[in-house]
Amino acid sequence: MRTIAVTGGKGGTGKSSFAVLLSLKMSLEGKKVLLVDCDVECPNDFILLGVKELTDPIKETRTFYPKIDPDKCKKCGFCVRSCNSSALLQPLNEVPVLNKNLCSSCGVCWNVCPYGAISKEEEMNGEIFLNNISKNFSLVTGRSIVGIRETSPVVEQTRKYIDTISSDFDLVIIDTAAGTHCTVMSALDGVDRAYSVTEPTPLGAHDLSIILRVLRILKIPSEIILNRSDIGNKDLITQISDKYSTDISLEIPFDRKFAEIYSRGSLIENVELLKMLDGFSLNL
Amino acid sequence: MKVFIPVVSKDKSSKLSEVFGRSEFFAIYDTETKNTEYIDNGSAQGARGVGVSVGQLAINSGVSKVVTRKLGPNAVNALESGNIEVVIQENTDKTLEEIIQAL
Repeated sequence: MRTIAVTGGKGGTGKSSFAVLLSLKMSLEGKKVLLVDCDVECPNDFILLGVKELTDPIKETRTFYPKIDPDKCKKCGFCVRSCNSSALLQPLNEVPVLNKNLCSSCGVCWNVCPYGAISKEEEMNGEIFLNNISKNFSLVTGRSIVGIRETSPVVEQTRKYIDTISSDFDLVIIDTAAGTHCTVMSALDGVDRAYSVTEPTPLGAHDLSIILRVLRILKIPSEIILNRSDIGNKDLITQISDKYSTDISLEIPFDRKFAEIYSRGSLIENVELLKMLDGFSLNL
Repeated sequence: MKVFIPVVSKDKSSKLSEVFGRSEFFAIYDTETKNTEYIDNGSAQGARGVGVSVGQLAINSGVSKVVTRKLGPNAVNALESGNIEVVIQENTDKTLEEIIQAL
């Protein structure tokens, strides 16, 4: 079993489209494919695959918040000074209060409290769904609850869930969120190879260079997928490709018909779209 | 009573800061002793939650009032829980001297 990631930095470059098409292609070639949507704040692979709605979660994800016992708290303020997220506030000579929106659930507070006054309070922060798309192709979707500020724990727990079922598959394809922040790092953790989908625009190039730097630090071999390759300025991307010694392994020209099919959410019914991946083979 | 004021430099001719949580410096003026103390804001470059940190700083400094041009929701909550009165001064042309005189 191999695990690859589809990422890219900038949003809207076609990460999900590429991940879905690649999953389809590989499953039609006889591989057992598991696509994992780790864009937990707004997962959309299921829409592109014709799943109407995510129902019956197979698992809930959880996070922890500090709960301060006012009887044990000596109001020393050590937890407040230790909190890097400024999530704890202490009114003068009173028990500190938690601002959940700022809490990253790092656990420093309940570990440093000299009086054992802080316990962990569990709360649901997301759900994991499993959909069988075809005989060879399953989709796992992580989805965080709307309004949750720290969503990487949802990604981490989605990845953990995958570990329990991945032995049934030949290929696991992780579709990450846009950006290069914690949720993306959690999605990239331990993958064998990453494909960075980008577009020939200044923003595409800028964000591509950041994600390639991240991938280099994480020691993940990577390739570039250049989407809408015939509009914009391709030089911007070849410069980044040279600078980071990362090959552009596929160029996908702009296709209005594809955009129309995408907007109807019916990629799966249009197998002819797979011609967009002609000439591309996974480096496994 | 102590008053907490975000300022752009550490002197009486300083203008009021445009911001609260990310102000470089704060002046703490004591209306009884007429003394002004200046402090650096260690949270000015913080990633987030700076309003809470500065609110905590105000609480720990024992101030009863804040004069500022504006402030964010985190700072509002922090100052509220510390029972600190907030006075909004929209005119950033005013110097610290003038703000103190108007107290």
